[in-house]
Amino acid sequence: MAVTRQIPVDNPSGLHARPAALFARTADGFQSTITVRNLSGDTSRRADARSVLSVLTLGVEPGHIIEVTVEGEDEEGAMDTLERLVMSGLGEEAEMDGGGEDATDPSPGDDD
Amino acid sequence: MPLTPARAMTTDTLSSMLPVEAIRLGLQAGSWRQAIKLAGDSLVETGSTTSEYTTEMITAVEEMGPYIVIAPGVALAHGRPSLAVVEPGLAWITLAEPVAFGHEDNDPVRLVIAMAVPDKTGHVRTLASLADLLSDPERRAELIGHSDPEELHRAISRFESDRAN
Repeated sequence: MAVTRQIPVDNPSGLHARPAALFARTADGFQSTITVRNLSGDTSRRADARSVLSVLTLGVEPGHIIEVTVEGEDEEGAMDTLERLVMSGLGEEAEMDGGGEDATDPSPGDDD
Repeated sequence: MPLTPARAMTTDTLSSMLPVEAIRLGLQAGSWRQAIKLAGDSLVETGSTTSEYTTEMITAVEEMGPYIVIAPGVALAHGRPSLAVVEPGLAWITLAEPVAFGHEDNDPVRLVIAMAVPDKTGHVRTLASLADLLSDPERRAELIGHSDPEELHRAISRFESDRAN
């Protein structure tokens, strides 16, 4: 009953719009209640993982640690899936859209 | 054309990054590409980007789909960080008639916000501020319904100063 895990967010640009959308879409596929806090930010703010907007309000930068809480019938599977998703970089490999100091990165990156 | 003085650092407030001149309301756009172009033109005309950035914002949607439609009726256009960004800035465009971006949940779009904030931290923080501003459905509807750029700018400033206190 209820699983909570801390997961580091290491992808290059943090949880900007695209990875946040992927995270939310993935969370939305499960029955459990799923919430997220940014332990490296305002820890009092608890976001609904199914909502892209809610996840974006957490302002998760690269190197931040999020805490995901899952409660419901499919909580184990949901937590494992979300953890794997975050640990694998949420589809971000190289410096993709939305962030990065390397303004001259030429390669489009290989995300699908 | 005079610009808003003291163009902001990228961790600054939305209202300081969004000049009143970059707020254009009730425009006509026949397609999502046109809608993004209008937002991009705003960024160019207020000195934030070159027109290359407008192309980059459109390319991002072509390559990665309409993930930028992050709330019902709202698209947050942005391109990859590049030399096309002269200084960080935002633009806020509303459309007289909403257009489809192809997002399965949040179409059609009436508000296009263009973001030119290339550094990682600033980008995520600006996104967080915008998400905060737009997350309440009533406030979102009220903001989208503005017809006067000065009033909209005041509404955003008020929201931010309330939040800070």
